[in-house]
Amino acid sequence: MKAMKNSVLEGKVMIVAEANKDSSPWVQSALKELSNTLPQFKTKAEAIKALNSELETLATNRSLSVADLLKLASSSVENHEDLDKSLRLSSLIYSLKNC
Amino acid sequence: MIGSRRKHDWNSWENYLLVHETTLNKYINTRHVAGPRQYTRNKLTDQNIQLSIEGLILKSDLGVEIQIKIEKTVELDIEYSRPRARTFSYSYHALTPKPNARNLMRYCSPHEHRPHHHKHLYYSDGTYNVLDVPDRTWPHVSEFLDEVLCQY
Repeated sequence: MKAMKNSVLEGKVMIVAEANKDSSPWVQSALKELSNTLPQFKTKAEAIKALNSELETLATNRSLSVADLLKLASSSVENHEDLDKSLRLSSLIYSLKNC
Repeated sequence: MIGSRRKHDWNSWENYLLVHETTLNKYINTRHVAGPRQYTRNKLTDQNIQLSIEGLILKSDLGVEIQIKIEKTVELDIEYSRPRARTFSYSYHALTPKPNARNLMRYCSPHEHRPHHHKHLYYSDGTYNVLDVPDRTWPHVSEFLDEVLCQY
């Protein structure tokens, strides 16, 4: 693991990795792939709209409101892909709106 | 406060990836039963990247096979010469393997219907509980995996 140094920037403490000459092949390939890939959405607003639409479709498929779908997903001991996805989408949308 | 940092603070993007790879490898090398061995990546926007792994089966301390699903969305700050990254949305989920998968535990970042970090616990009698997790104390992936793998 690389040694790290602490620095203070604009009053915030942050950690900066030193020049990472021995970064792993996976990290290097991830960085390269991501820099060469077009984003799925051009803007955050576009992403929020599309993800909201996806969430609404999941709710419609169960004839539920989004709120009821999320309540069901929170309480279901049985695992269902669509319920998992609804919770993940909801958290992601919330974060995109608030970060 | 030089020399200390807050949990889940900014890190360099490269180091963020390296920490996630190293952490996951620790469990893959000692407990892997089936499924993928590394995160997949998805570029949501230029500044929001998703790391996810699904269908990973790890063996617990008691020898039980646990299915793990992790999804993290990373916010990138590209204003610096070396981009910085931090997690801003996550789901850490443990369940029994398919078929008839049953939820065991799930940590979620806030969403509109539950605007706090929280943890779902599902019990074998069919009941469940949801506990709020104080801001900034939500677990790292390693803490989640340690909790799950020693509990079940």
